[in-house]
Amino acid sequence: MILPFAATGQGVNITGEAPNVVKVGERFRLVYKVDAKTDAPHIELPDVFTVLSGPGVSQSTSIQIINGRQTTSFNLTFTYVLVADKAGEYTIPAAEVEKDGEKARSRPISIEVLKSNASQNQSQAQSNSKTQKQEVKSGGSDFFVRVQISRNNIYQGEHLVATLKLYTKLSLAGFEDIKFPSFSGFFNQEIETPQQISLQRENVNGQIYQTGVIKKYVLFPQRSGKLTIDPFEVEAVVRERVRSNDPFDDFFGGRYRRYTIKDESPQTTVTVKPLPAGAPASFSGAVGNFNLETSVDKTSLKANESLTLTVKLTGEGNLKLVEMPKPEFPGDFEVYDPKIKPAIRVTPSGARGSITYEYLLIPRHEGTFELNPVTFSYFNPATRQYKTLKGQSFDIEVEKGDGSQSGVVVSNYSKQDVTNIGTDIRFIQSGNLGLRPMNTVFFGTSLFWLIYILGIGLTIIVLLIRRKKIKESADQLRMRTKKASKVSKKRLRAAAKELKAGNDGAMYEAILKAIWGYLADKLTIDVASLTRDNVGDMLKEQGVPAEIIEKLIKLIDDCEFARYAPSAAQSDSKKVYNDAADIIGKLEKQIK
Amino acid sequence: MMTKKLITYIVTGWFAIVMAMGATPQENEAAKYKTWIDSAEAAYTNQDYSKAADFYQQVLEHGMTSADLHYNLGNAWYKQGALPQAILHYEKALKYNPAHEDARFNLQMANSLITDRIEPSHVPFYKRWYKQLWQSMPIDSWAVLSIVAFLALIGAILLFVFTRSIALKKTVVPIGLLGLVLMILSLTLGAEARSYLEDTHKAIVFEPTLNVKSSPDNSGTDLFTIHEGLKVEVRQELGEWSEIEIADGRVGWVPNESFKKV
Repeated sequence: MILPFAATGQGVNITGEAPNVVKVGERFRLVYKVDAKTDAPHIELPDVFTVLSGPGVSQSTSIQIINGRQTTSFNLTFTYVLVADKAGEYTIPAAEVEKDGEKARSRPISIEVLKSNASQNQSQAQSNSKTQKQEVKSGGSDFFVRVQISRNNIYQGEHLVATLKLYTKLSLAGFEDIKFPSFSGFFNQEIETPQQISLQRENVNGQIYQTGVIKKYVLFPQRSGKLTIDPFEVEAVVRERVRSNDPFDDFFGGRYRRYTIKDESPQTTVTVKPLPAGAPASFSGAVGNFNLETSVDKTSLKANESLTLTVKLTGEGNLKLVEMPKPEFPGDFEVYDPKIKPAIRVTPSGARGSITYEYLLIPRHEGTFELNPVTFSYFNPATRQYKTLKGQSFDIEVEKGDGSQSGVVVSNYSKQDVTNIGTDIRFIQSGNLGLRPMNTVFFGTSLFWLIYILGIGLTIIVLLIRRKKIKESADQLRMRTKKASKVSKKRLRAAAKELKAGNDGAMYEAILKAIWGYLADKLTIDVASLTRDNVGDMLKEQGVPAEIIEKLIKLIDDCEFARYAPSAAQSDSKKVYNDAADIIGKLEKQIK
Repeated sequence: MMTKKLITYIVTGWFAIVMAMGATPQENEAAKYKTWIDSAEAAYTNQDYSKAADFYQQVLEHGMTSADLHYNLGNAWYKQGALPQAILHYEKALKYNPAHEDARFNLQMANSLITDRIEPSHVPFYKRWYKQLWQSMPIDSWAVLSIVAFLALIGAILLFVFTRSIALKKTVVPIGLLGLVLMILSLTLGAEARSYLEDTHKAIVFEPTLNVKSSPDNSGTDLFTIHEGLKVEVRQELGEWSEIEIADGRVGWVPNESFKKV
């Protein structure tokens, strides 16, 4: 009920404390704390309160040393014991103290005084709780928890405050376990409450309860329909004094009993209405009451310098969930992601504050540009209407920038990717389309393979012919010799007959005839026009070596001589025949 | 001297044959097709796609074909929103000319619009490369290339045999080897392209929603559902039913009239 209050001011501070609710005839304490040595505060009590005793003065000094730093706090407490005579609501006006000419005033304290018949119920309840001596007691009228919601019928996105509250008539020593509800379907934000739960006296249906706020939440429903807040559960430890007849027990402060008590809050249902139809295009779920401010830091600048567009959204509602529609900027501006600065306070009346979006823009080329106004839409649950806010539009004058600066800032801004705007199939082919009768593929047809077979076949034939030719040219020499001997044999056949018969004269004649005939054939002239003298020249023209010609002439001379004077012939007829055959063979080789 | 003359005759003869293969159809017929194709082109440009498709179809019905013709017909169907027909004709265009860049692009566009998305089973990289290689040219380009390489090989052999210059002999050897390698390669790839062309197992689903059955009759269990435009492989046929396989390897039976073969 009474909490320490840290008074750390330079001057004098005074705080007053008293229960919120008392009964007629109940004694209660009114306490003033001063952090300096002063006289008793000056109070003007309403008439209904009678001072039974006081002021009782007590004094405390505490010295703290933290990390070598010493702090001293001083407290002077004035305690009055009062009793109220009549039911009603009363206010104790501010108390005033003075120190060294400096005055300090406390805040006024309001006290509700109830009729005293409530005290009967209380004692009855106490006796009830005494009879049930269970280890864990559940709820009952002495101890219960509730989830209080500020509103029950709201629009989607509108806020409501849920307070988790504890009511007790028992004296609590502490909490064992608190199970907080999961607010499914809601976006929840906790409102800051003191760490330690302070109990207050409160009038519930004419009975005095100690109440404490455990937690407070601001909830934003995320969907429409009936949303249920799960129960929350508190397990607390109760310290109860055991009455005893032993006067010594009373003297030493009595005996206490501890037990655990538990209660669960009933389920709470919230009806969430969907937002009405007809939301504007720029609506993105904002519900509440907002204001839009836009500003730019400059309206004329050089290309490649930066410009900041500030969009500030202030108001109350589901600010945390608001999504700012992206403003449209001229295409030539380089736009960076906005810097978002939320400044939102969550209070029992919802979330309020502001969100600031800072867009950094860099125009890349000179010219006059218009920044289109930013549009933002929200739903106002109070008027049940959508509202669209429009920011200012700005004309931005961009001058030609310094070339040097552009090089420093960004070097590749002038190149752009070719981006696809749409996709479609490619266009048809025109022209004669290369039409062909169906199933006319050249590859793999018999004609195709025929080309290969022909190619291979012809190559093989060509190679064979060549091979034969080479062989023939190698044999040519031998062939010609063979031919020559054949010719000479044929020509000298008659001579050979005469030689066998031993007719020497006839043999020489036959030899001569054969030689002249052969020469005439070879040189293709008449035998009559051939003489011993001109034959040498003719043969020379044919390229016959002189040595062979000489031999030939000698042979002719020998034969002529032997013909007319056979007896005088010294030469052997056989040898002459052989010589003739040899010369004809040689000539055959030489003359072609 | 005589052999050289002979080679010249053979070479010119071959070229004459090769040229004859690419010969255009009869003159008056060609003029008729040309008018149809021009009308189709005009209709397409005026966004009268069904008329354009009719003209192209007419040319096809007269027994003429080409990759470009199927490509244009596919475009005309695509523009009418008939995806299965468009896909069928793009596939046919690619069958005639696997190197048809535009047909490949448009097929991809059309395939991105069909309902079914199937993760194809993984293909090893060398198979992908091989496929890309044989798809890089139309089939008859492979035929011509193989013949040119073959002639180069023969020419190299003959030159090697007949020439007396050592330097020429030395240059001719790598040319001959190159010709040999090129010939074998283009023959292999051409054979691949031909087998693709003659493959009658690819088919396009024409039924908007097609339940694939476990057995070739209507009482079979429904295995999975495919939609129009999907390319499937026909594994076997049994009367009115065919067994198909989809790209991820799943197999089932569908009625014959539910698809058209590429």
